Amino acid sequence: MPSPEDVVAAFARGVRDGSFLAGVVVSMRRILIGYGISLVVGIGLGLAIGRFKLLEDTVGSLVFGLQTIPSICWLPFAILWFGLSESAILFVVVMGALLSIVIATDDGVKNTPPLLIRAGRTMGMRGVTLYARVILPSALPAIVSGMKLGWSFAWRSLMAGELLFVSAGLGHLLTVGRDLNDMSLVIAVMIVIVLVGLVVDRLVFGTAERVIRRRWGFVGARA
Amino acid sequence: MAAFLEITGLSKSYAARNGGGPTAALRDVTLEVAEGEFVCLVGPSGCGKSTLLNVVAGLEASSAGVVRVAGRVISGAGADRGMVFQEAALFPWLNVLKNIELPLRSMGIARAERRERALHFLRMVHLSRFADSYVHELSGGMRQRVAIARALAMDPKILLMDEPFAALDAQTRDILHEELQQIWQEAHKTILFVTHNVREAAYLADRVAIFSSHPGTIKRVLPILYPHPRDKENVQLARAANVILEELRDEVEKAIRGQLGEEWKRPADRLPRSARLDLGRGI
Repeated sequence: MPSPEDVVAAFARGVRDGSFLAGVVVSMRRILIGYGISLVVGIGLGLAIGRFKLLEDTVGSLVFGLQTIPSICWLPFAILWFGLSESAILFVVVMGALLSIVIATDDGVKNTPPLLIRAGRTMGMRGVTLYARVILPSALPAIVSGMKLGWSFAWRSLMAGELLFVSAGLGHLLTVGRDLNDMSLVIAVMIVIVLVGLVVDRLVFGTAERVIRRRWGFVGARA
Repeated sequence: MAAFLEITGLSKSYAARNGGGPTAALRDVTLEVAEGEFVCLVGPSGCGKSTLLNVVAGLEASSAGVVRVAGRVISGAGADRGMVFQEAALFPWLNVLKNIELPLRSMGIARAERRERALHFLRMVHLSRFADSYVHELSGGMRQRVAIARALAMDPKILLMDEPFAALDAQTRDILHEELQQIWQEAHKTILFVTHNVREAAYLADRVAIFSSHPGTIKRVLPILYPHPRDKENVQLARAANVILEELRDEVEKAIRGQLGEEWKRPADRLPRSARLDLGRGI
């Protein structure tokens, strides 16, 4: 076990020589792509499952089943399908984040107060219009918490995926630390991982949640 | 005058839940409402008055019968019939002004006109100051005001109100009664108003349709000929309310007996009387 001083030194070294920054940039690029795919597919699929009974009975239960699989279990799949490539890592990230986003979106759609839907219908809304103007905004708080959950799953899956091969991301830096038997480097990289995760969580999701809570009146008890 | 809203031979039954025959919520209801008329539907709970309103709104399909609005048979919900629910049914993610504008957007009305119309009706319900507020910042009474403004802004042919003031405190309700009466006269709307409050019905309505339950039918339609604007204190209205109450008494008892069984007996309905007030006896 390295001393705190060693870890601080390794941290400073990593920051100074730019290897941490390079790692963060590479990892962020991957997660933005992978998480982006998860968002688009996940929200789309969630909305569809919430809307169509047939999809719910088929894909819906499958999604719940797959959600119990840790994303690391997708690694063998990823390697067999995509080889040791960028796509393999993205696949693991998507599989990690996608399902929780699907489930949360579906939940949000199902929990739309019936009264609001009835109100929308008496305004002449139906089909896509009703969905876009009433159901989607009503599901937004649930979707955002799904996105937040999905983000942390994506981040974890990414680190697992990057351990696979010489991938230049933060996960790869962990492997380097292991190979060199440099525990202080490993811990310094872990600190970077925590910091990046926290910053995104607070900055992006914290802000989104605050806005929604205020708007929806969830913090109204204080006033 | 031709009927503006024509409900003809309307029946509605629900499929049975546990094996028995279907339950009839409405049976052969016929009602005609003239343009600009204010009609209240009163009855005990479960008599189908709200079901009737939902069918007219297009939120529920009828089992038999036809509803015509301005001569056209309705099918499904539409913006030509504005609805105000017991709970305001406002969208929490929109501010007050945007809530009123939302249906106008779906109706394809241009932005400038949307805003102008929304502000006009917001002024009518005295909430201009709260245009930018969100729903959770408003009291129950204010929310209903917004809901009324939203329904009026759609310029519907007919306004449907489903116990809109039932969840409000008595003072707020009294004020909103007066305002609704005024709004109705200003906006020249045809209003179908569901309530179980007989005083409310007597105060607001041109005619009161009294329902009986199991199955829901209209037992009697009582015209209230006193001209608007009316005064809450008016004795004739109190008398009209008593007539409605008398009509309803059997229905309410029937409803309670339906729930509690034969064990329930009506308490003796004699008020304690003072001999002093019993003028004229024994002369």
